[in-house]
Amino acid sequence: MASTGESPLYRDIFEVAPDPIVVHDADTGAVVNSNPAAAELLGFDRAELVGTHVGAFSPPGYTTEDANELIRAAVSSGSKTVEWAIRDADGDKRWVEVTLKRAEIDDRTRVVAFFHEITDRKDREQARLERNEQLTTLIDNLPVVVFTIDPDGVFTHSAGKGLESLGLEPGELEGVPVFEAYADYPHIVDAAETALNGDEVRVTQEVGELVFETWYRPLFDDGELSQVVGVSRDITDLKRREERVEALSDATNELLYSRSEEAVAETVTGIAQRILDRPLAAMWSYDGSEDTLYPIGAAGPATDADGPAGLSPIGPGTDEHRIFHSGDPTVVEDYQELANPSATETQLRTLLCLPLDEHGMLCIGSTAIAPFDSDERFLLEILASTAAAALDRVERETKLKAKQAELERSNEALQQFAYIASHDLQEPLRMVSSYVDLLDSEYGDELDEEAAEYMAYAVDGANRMQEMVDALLRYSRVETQAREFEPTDPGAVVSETLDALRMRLDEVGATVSAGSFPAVRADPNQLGQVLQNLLENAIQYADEAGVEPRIDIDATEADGMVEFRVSDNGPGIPDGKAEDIFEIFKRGGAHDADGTGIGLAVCQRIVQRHDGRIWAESDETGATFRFTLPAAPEGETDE
Amino acid sequence: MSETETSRAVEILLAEDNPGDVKLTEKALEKGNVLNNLHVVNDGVEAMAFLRQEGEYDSAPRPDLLLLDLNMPRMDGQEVLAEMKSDEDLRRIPVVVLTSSAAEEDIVESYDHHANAYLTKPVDFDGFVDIVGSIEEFWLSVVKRPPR
Repeated sequence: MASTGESPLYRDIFEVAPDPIVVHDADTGAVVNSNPAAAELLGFDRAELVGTHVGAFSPPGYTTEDANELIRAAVSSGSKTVEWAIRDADGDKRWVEVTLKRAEIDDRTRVVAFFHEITDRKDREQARLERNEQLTTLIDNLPVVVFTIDPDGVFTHSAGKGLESLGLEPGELEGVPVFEAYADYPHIVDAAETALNGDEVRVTQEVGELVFETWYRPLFDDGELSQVVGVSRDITDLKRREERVEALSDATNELLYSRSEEAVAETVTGIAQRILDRPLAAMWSYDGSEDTLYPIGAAGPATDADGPAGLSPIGPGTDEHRIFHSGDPTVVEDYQELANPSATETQLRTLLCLPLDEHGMLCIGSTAIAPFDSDERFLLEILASTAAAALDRVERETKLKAKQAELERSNEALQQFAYIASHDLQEPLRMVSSYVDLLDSEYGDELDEEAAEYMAYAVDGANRMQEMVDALLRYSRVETQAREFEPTDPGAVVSETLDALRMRLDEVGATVSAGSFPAVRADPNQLGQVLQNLLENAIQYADEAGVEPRIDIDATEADGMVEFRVSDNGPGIPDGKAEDIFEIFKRGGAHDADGTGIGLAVCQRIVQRHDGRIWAESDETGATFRFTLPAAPEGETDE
Repeated sequence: MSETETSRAVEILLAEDNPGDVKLTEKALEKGNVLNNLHVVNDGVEAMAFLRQEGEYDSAPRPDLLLLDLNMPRMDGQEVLAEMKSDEDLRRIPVVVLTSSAAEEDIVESYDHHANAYLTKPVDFDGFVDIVGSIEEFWLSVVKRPPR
């Protein structure tokens, strides 16, 4: 380098150079000269700087000796570069790259220090470094396995907390081909190969006892596969939970078909024992009359020896008895610590008791102290409420069966009665009326007026009784002459019924308007009977009240039932009689055109036989009778 | 009296346990116009003995018509029907079931046992006279009966 002292041009360049330049004496390291940029950066006056040793403005940690070392190195090798973090005049930290060059100036050996500020670059580097560190920390702590595979199938990266469950150290797989590492797991090798062929893969993979959900994503660089990145998540617990919920849902379905308490107990204890790792599950049924719970089912290896019969009943005064009556699911931390256990010789330790409403109790336990986690409790409480519902249903069904049997018995009794009514009861009745007749025809001339009147009463009484016997028979025939239900068009039945009543309708000047009728599943004859009875009632009561009968009939379908409506403009039903009128022989001065008061009872019996119901409403405009019959299922057509 | 028949009286056997009904039948037949001999038995066992001319009925005539009540002690009407109709000799005797029962099962069973007719006894006497009159008219006059 030329002399700086001689040429004004060089001096000017030296003076205006934006980067700081400092000239040192090669032997002492002292500053010989500096440009304004240097003075500004270092916070010295230029004159002040001359003679100062480089050590004075070296960053902290650099001694004068270190500085001399650098100067000497620059002298001997001709050039030396160092990066410094320094404080500027304002005290801010700035990074500079200092290049020390040996130079001969004015025949003296100097070392010229060229400063170049690299603060921005260093800051960027620093930020990148910190981000990388952060990312590494993040990845290392993610509860998954993160990995990359190069195009040859070799692991280039493996990290994540998920590695722990596989017993692997971070980075352990790096450098190992996936085909070797997972030679025993063909489905993993397959997935990796698919990804290496450029297709994204998302699979559930079993590795030993564990289940992983893994995502392989191929990355491309200019259309060429550059690597496959992968994330693998341990879903073993999730799977287990799923399986438990499935088992629970299967059990719920099974419980729908359980026919007895014992069958419910078998299913419930079996499932409780299966979905939890608890050796003991047992169920008790509550006997209210003795205030005692009796075992009805148990599952688990621990109960094989003694079975449910070996379990103790839970009587008053015991802790379990108290838990049952509390109605709340209760955890017994250690059965052996109970003051009043129902079972005295048992290895049982931790126990969860779930009262099943008034039906009984379900208990799940283990022979070791093992607290129940919230997941277990949640599943068991669902199971318990399902069990309680199943027991409810079993109880209802049992009652229903008993009721049905009773109903069948009473039906048989009714048929028997009907036979008696039709035969044995008629016989003496016939005697009465026949012989009163005979008396009249043979001795009528000899009787006075009063005797004739008595006889008329006797005849009338016998006739009325005959009508009642006939009515009873009609009532009983609702069952005995019932036919199978079939898809029926009520519109046709209405037309037939109106035809049959045509003369009577014309006679009283009645008008009937019939609407539309959804198809029903019914005994068409009996539907006709109901309609005829209701129409006859409507006609008669309106007519008797002195109005021209106006009757509306229609029907609407809702919730699988068709509701029929027959309304008239008659006097209506007296207050409080709307229910009485359906009772056998009860006319209550109301609404039953059948002389014996059995017409509406027959209607009710027919409707009930169809699982429908019949009721009456009334206001000042008339009476409305409504009844429901099952709608014909979709697709079934009228024949 | 039928013109096509010989003028002998027709033999009618009434199997009926109710004396009231027996009397009514007698009265009704009196009002009719067919000359008849009415024989009465009170249960099925006696009816079979009469038909087979057994015991005290050894000289009983073979009836032209049997009026049969269903509800009788010892042996009921259905049993009489079943036995008669499986007897080659007796099966040709016309049987009219005359009963208070209008029960479908009784009607069906009677025809299953080959009853020739099934009639329900009317409640009043006039009705009874009418129905016995119809029996006389149809079974003793209109119908060609088998030879005795």
